[in-house]
Amino acid sequence: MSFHGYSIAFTGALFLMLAWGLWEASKWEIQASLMAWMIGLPTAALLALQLARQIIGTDETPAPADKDEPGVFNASLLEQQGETLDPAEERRRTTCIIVWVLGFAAAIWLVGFQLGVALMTFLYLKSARESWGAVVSITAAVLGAVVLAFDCGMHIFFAEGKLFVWTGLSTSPLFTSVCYNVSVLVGAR
Amino acid sequence: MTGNRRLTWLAILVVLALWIYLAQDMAAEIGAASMKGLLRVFAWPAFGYLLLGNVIGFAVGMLPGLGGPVTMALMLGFAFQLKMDAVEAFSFLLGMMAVTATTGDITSVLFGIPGEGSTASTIVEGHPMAKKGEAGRALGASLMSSLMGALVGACAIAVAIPIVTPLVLSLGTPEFFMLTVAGVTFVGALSGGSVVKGLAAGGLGFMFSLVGLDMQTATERYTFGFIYLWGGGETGGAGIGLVPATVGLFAIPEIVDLATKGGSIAQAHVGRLGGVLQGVKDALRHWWLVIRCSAMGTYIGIIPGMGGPVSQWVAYAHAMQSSGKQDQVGTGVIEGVVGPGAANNSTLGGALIPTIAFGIPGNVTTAILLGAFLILGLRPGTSMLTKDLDVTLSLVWVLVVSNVITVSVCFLFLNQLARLTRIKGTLLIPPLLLFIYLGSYTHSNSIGDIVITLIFGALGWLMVTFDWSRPALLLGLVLGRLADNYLWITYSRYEFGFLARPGVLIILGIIIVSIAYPLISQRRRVRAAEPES
Repeated sequence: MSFHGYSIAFTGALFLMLAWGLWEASKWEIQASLMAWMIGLPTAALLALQLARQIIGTDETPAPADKDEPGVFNASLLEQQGETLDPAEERRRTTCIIVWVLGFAAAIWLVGFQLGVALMTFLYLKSARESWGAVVSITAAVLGAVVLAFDCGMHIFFAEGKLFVWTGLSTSPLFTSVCYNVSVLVGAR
Repeated sequence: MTGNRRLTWLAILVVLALWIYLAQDMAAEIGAASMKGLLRVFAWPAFGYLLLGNVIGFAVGMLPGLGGPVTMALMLGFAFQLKMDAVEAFSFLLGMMAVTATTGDITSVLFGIPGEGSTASTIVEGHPMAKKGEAGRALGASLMSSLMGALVGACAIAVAIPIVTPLVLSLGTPEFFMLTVAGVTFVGALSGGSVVKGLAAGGLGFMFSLVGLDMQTATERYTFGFIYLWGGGETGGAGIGLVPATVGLFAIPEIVDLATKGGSIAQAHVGRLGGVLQGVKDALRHWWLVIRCSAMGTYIGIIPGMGGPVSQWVAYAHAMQSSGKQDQVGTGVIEGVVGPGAANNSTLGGALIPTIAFGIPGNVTTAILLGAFLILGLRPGTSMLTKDLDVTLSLVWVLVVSNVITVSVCFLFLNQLARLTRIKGTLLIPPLLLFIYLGSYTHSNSIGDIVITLIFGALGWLMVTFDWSRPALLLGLVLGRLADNYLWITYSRYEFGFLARPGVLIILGIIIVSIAYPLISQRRRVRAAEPES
């Protein structure tokens, strides 16, 4: 499918999602559904108009490279330096980073926040062929920040990783004992 | 004195007279609230948070590829998690944002790469000066004009309060409902690209804000049976947390962009920087230009959908035109550095005025800040101009203090700071991902927050790819909760009769104009281009 085809599909998906939202709102009492109708109906009309414009070709979405929103993004570094990237290479890099973003989330879910981010930081930096010094120091900094600043310092409750829940193991005593020892060291206990 | 300058002074005197007339009743109140706001900013731990925000904003401003609004979205969760009160949170968040444009100029001048989107115009004259060996002078001029611009922007908020307060106090719930719709419409219609897409994105944001348990009727709206989506607490009964959604919408596409295209950061060698004092003198010598460009920045900041990226170029054009050196564009004209430096720093002050008074943010930064207002229990409009006036005026002090601190530090450590820009992009990604997930997770300490971040991250990335307005969607999500509440009260009291109220009709008229104007100008542009093609 072409870029234009994907663009139409995206608008179509938004329209269908909104149509479902309006259908769902029809089951609610008037007080709960008032806002959905007042805003949803004009929005559905706008989406239908946009979809029609895209299908008949009066609204072509510009190429992805040159449409940074003012005040939101900086132009990418390569663009600022007047260089361009091969589209195939750009697609490969985009896929890679999306996998890493999802991988970080999956690792947090599977092995918990502290271990998950440290593990993924280590793997990401190694895969980016960074030096061992950079890999170890940044991984240690990330783990240290999560455990010392956020777990011990701010007392954020980090849920146990699913892998540990399934196997009946637990990392909580480890981090609790780290926090206890740190608090003894800094004289808080 | 030229005719133009006389006319400007006359306009200033008229505004001053009007202000004195309007402010006479509020003078004592504003004075007391201002003093209280100042003391609260300097109290501990608010001042510590301000310094922390300054340090983060400092680095973010200098590092190309990392935007201020994205960092603000990332830090929103921590402000909430650390249980900061309103002044502490704004000291941290606004203190961070207030300095990004200032330090962004450093990268623009030294490397010809904008540290921030709003500092691109500084490159045109600032970088040639650096090439000629006058980097120190360019930076001195840029930093001094930035400080002066920020002070003008901050003063604009204080000056605007007596003018907008009577207007806001005369509005009722139906008008406030219409104002929320107007806010989304302005940003949707004016944020660039297609007007239809912008408005539809705003509408979708409103629809997303409905997810959760309706507080009036206890109806589950779009919850799919998940208790997590019922919401409650800080989210005011709505299910999609502002923090996970904001982080997803803005930070994830930024990470993808950084990893895909931003493989390198400035590698050029920078020698010692001299002539900084000369640059400061240049900025002071062109004080009238600084004032004019700051006023332009403030004014553009007030207009929704514009902001720093627009004001810097308008100011640059004005500075070059008024310098009489149009034939020397790109050769290192000092006026071309001073003008944009002042304008991009005064824009934030201008953008805060409609945000505080009407809940209509001028740009994406203030849209995120509006989310912070609501999370911290502040309501823009009447309450921020009366009951919470000291908090509102503390924002002014945060802008002033942050810029004074930052510019002073910049002058002291300019040579050392230049080295910051050499950090590699790949080294930034793991810490950024940590902040993305940690920032969203701290919203309710649930894995659901991370899922929301991923969903909105995917949506944000698709919106960037297919050219849809994310600020409009975010604003719909932020204002949707207020709008739902206002609509419910309005409907209970007036049913659909509220549509005939004069205030509502006036705002409706403004909404129609704001939609029609970009459409008409778009059509004119197309028609004008047709004969050429």
